[in-house]
Amino acid sequence: MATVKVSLENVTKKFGDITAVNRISLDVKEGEFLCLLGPSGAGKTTTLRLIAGTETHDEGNIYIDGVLVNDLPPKDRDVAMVFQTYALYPNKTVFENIAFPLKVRGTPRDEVEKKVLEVAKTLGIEKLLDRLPALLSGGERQRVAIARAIVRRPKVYLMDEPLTNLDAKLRVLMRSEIKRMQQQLQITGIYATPDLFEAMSIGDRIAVMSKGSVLQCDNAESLYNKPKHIIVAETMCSPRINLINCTLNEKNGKIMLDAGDFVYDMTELKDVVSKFLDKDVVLGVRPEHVNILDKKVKEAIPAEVIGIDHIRPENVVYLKVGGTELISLADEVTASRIKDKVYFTFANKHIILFDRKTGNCIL
Amino acid sequence: MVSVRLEKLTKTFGKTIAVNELDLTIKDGEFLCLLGPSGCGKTTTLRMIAGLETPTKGEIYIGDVLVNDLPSKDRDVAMVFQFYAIYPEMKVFDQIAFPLKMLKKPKEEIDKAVKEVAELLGITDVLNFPVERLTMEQKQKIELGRAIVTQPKVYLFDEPLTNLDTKVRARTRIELKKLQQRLKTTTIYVTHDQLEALTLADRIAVMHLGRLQQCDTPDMLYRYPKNFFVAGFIGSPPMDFIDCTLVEKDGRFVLDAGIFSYDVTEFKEDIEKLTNSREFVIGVRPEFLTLSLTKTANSLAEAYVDIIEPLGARMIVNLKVGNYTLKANVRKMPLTSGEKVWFGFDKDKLRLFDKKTEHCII
Repeated sequence: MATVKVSLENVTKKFGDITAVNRISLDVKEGEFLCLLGPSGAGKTTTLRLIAGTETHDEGNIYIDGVLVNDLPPKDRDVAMVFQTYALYPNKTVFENIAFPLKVRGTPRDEVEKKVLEVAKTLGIEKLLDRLPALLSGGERQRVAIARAIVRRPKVYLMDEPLTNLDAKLRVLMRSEIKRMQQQLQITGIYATPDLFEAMSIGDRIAVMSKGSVLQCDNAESLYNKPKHIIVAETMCSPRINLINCTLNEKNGKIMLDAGDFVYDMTELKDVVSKFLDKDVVLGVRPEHVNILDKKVKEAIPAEVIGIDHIRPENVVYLKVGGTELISLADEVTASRIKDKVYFTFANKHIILFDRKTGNCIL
Repeated sequence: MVSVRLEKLTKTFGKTIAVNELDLTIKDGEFLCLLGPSGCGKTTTLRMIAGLETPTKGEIYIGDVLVNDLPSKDRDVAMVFQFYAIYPEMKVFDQIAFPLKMLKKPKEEIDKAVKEVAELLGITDVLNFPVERLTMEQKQKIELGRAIVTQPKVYLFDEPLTNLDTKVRARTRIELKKLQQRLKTTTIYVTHDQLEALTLADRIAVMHLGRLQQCDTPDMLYRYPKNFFVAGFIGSPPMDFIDCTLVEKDGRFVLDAGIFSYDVTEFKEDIEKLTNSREFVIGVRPEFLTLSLTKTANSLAEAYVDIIEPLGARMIVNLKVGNYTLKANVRKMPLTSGEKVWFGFDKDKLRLFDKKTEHCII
């Protein structure tokens, strides 16, 4: 078992009446990258700032490397933070920027040079060392900022949406680079992002946050397959998961999921769902699990096609059944055959059901 | 209903050539996207068509009329910048009527036009609501309504969806596309977001450094990029590129990429006709790379699985082979980092670029 590097116990932070972070408990193991995933306002940045010590928490305990740091000032916590904005010194060269954290700590000159060169190589910026930040591209600047953070080896790296300011294409390329660097250097870190794909690529585990709370913390696979809450299911799906309000009814010994615009036979899952009969539930089906057919087969539900986004390799198909809208993914061949009217099905094993009142997953 | 024709359109700012001899015809009723990275000249082009910038050289025709010297208001175009927040206390009717009121149109005409637009957009029953009571989707429709109520000959959009959050953006994109298809009004739409361009446009004009690189349907741009820039720009993650040398062996044409060799004898004539170069770059889209644990008929070489990026139903597998890191975008499959895997691609998915001219040969 790897040792726990960072530990949060029931940490709470309030700003006046607003609870920014609500009783969060998390463990980050040595060599692990934990992602905090959630929309803006979820409490990700505040959590990072509490760990860094730039904000003081109101309740709970924070441990770094087994030491209670509640009362330690930021400089004594031995963490490094990377922000969304690169904040490089414009009048210093790349080398000087990366060397800065070492110099202020009085590291000997030859050691500074060795370490800067090493980290620059890891991030592929060794040819840019003499340049000024103004002459770098966005991606290069962000690499310099990351290099500056990792050049000294603090106990923990805190990264606050470091890729958010880059354009979409570069973001896609940078996320695998960050992961590679993290694996190579075996660094421990907490990485906040609103981007699902970034979190899935970079995080060994993901803590899904909403309104100051951690709803579920697990690896990407488990969060995707077994979301415990409707918000986790929504967060862990792109394009968005289909969520349809339904009720479960029993008719002639059959258990039917009634969505108003269509019904779905759930008798096979009777054992699990029977206790939710006549309750308000939400049906969740991921777009990749909605199968489009051009002919009617048993159980298939007729739908109208209201639009197709030809995004490769998976086309997004927008469907409408009465007043209910769904989205589906279709490959090139299927998408090219789609007409105005189609049928769709989904398999029992891909159905997720939520209690509408609590949002908790019941199937 | 008009076409827009640009002939050798050029705009310089001091020493900078923002738009360089642009020849482009936007057909009657067509939805054309100007796509490119920031600084490529797409917005300057749009502003020249709108009459907000004066061309340094070249001509702009709207229909058959040369409009170079026409002031913006006489060009009969409607320019929509970002879809921005609307005055919350104003009624929907007044919001849509706003551009007509600015043009001092008579009240009856405004009434009629607003009602027509509201019907088209399906917001007739909320015309007397204050905007703050509307759903996000309805608010977007008001923005569209304001753009179309003056019934211009050409719509010019400058990244209108940039300010919206992703969920609303997808929905608004569909509405916009449907509306344009119904109205069949010639539309020029500037964006740096290829997803928007690929989903909205009938044709996309890809620009780079002030020059037109290629103007084609989304499908053609994706399948047959004309040059290196377009190939790398369209698609995310971008195309995988592998350097290679063309060698002739016993009458056969073979691409020697070091990590594998690839027979292209069937393209011999095309290659000989188009270039005498021997240095090429192979381009394959990540989603066209196929992976298998055992060697199959189309396997080219073995690679190490590096970082895996899960995407839900699919995943991006970073492959280490020789000095390359290739990206494969495949359906989810059981793979772990460090494992060895065979990769390959079908011959019809191969694109070949001349290393010197950067033009696509195959």
